[in-house]
Amino acid sequence: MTNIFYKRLFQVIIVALISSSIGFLMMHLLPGDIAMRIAAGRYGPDGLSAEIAQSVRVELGLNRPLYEQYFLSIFNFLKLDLGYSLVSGQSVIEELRVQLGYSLLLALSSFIVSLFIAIPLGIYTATTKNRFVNTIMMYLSIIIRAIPPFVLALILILIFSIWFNILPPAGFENWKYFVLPTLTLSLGLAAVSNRLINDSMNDVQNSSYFKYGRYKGLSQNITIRRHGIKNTLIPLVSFLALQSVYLIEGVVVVETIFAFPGIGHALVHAIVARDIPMIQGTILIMGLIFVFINVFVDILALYLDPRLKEKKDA
Amino acid sequence: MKKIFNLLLFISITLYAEDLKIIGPVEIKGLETNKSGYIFSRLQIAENLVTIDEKGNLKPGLATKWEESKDGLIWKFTIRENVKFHDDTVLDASTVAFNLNRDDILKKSILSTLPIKEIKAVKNEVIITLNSKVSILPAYFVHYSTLILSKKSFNDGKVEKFIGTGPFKITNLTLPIGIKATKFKQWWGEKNEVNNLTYTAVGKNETRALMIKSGEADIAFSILPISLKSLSKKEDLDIQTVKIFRTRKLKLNSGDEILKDLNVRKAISYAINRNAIAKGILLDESLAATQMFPPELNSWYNKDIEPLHFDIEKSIELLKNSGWIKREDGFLYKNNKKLQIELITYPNWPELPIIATAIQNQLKQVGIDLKVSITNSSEVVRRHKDNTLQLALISKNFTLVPNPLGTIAKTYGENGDDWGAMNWENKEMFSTLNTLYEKDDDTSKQKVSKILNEELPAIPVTWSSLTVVSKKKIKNLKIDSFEISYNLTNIIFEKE
Repeated sequence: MTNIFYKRLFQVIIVALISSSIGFLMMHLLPGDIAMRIAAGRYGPDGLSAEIAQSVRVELGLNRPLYEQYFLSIFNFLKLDLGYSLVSGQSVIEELRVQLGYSLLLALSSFIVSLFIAIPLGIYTATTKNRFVNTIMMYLSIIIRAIPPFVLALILILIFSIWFNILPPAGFENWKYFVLPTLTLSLGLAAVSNRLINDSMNDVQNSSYFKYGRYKGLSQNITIRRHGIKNTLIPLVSFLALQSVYLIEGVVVVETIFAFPGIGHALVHAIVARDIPMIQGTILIMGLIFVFINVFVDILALYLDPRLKEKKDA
Repeated sequence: MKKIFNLLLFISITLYAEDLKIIGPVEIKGLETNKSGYIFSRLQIAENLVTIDEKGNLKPGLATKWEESKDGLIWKFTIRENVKFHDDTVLDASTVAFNLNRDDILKKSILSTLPIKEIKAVKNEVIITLNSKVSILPAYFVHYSTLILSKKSFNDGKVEKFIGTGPFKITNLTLPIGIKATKFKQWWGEKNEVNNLTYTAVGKNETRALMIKSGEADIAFSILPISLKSLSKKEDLDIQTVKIFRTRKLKLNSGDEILKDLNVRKAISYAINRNAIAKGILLDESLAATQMFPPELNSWYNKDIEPLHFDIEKSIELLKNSGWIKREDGFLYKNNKKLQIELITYPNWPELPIIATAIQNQLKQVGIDLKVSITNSSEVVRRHKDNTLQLALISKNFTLVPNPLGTIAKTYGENGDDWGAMNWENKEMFSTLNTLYEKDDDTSKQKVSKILNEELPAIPVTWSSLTVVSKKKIKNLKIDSFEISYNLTNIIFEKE
């Protein structure tokens, strides 16, 4: 366990350093004048002029040599001093705290809801003999996954906010406002994971240990509970760790559609405005989250499949 | 009896004091007034020294009066007394001077364009000394960057808390998309019916339309024409559209090898079917620009000049006169060089890229090969500065300062600014603008419009409008064409 932790900690430092450096260099290498981009991000087209951009350049030290700016940025980054947003002037930590809080809540609720949809559905389609249900579920999953999140979001708003008028279409005041964004993300996730569970369950059902369970007289339900679910979850857990990438990608779109103050929305704006401290801070935090998810998955996999532990011990 | 009457009055005010949910596309980019002052000004959280009436005439705000010295170099603004900030501190001249003397305002706001020598407080007056005369100086103090905040708002010269004097004070701020505010009972102005308000920045027009349609929002600003058909069917909604003083125009480089020829500039103008763009994209034919300023800007609108219009034959003829010959590929050539122009635009206004591609197609009809590039708005400024710009489709607001002269003089005066004329010389225009600075005169203003139509240092394409959709229960919602205030204090809730 400690090994896993140190290994992942080392990974996070390397990932953070490399991505921070790449983030810095990319922002400087992209075409366009960085001071003008930042000024446009701050003051908008109506408030932008070359003189104002020049003031921004002087204020932020963008006229200093690039290597000097780079080392200063990495030095501050290593001190975990994420600095201030070049656009809003707020502390990056504070902005991340608010925006990441909303995004994490959204991501977590989407994960949980997707599991509530996918696990029963996947197990049911794998164990039922009804081919019609199976085919319908397969096509439905393909269609939902193929629909881009922003279209799915608008469809859900139309159904729940306009036709039935039971949920607010956008905003972030209370739990009701989380339902539609969560549903948008979780439907996309569940569309894939229910198929994966279905395949995994089929494999488990064809395995000798499952068949043996049935031969020795256990009912279908008890065999599934005792021997099925745990074994089915092994590939699913690794898959869900990878799916967190989809979640981040989906969060950007969903936050924009639902006017949600999350990290995805903030990152897109930061990139457009070349807000380097915001980009570096977001990369660091996202990197940490990915590593955390992977550590969690490693631990969960060890619990679900004790053979891995034996392998490691050997 | 009087007590009972007062009690009834109190109950009736309390009963009808309501909460408002407002949505609009504008995000809150920070607390500095030069970054997000427009939203704090529109929500009436902070106020300026000077404000305007419906027609754009200046009227007292936090300054009760102002006067200039005989030579026009010294201005005195008398500060309103008994005005409190939301933190209970009292407004005075030194607070105003402190606000206006900050680096962020003097160097990075609209004031940076003025020849300000000194701003100081003397008793209850703020005295501004200029290096040269600016007859429209008070109009600059309507601009959102000059909102006045409490001294407690600042730490090390930067805004850390947004404490204004307006009728609403902030209770919660979620950057970049949410503001909650409540009624400020000690406001110096008249009483109003709005108790609490929530502003949510909703970037997507589709989401804004769905929010107002579902009843989630009370007022939705900047609804695009595409959503209006469906919203107009809802009987519980009111739709108001007003012209705003923003022109979508082609900023062009008059020093460019191709565009320095007036015939080419005119040919481009004749080749643009503005009515089709206004009707097809903006769904409002009245927005097709016939000159730079819309009729609503009445002193600048010149009804006696030849309106800009679509005439493809004339366009072809002008290009032929300039030696451009059509080849088999359908494009024009001169000295073996294709008539190819690059146009840049930016997506801050979602209609600009669509209009750009429509213009691309229209210019192709006369043989002009227009390359369209969608980029960041800062590229317009950068390429103006390094003189590499050919054409840019931009959206220019002429009333950021409510007297358009300030913007027009910077845009089309000598050495046009970053969003204005490029390498364009017209002595008559320069002297007319200088005259206007000395003395307000409608004939000179109309002369400006005439020169702009004849010389085309920029090619107007369409004017702009602002559509606001609100619930029917909200009465007396006055839409401000100058986009300075949402006029929330004027709102009356329909009594059910």
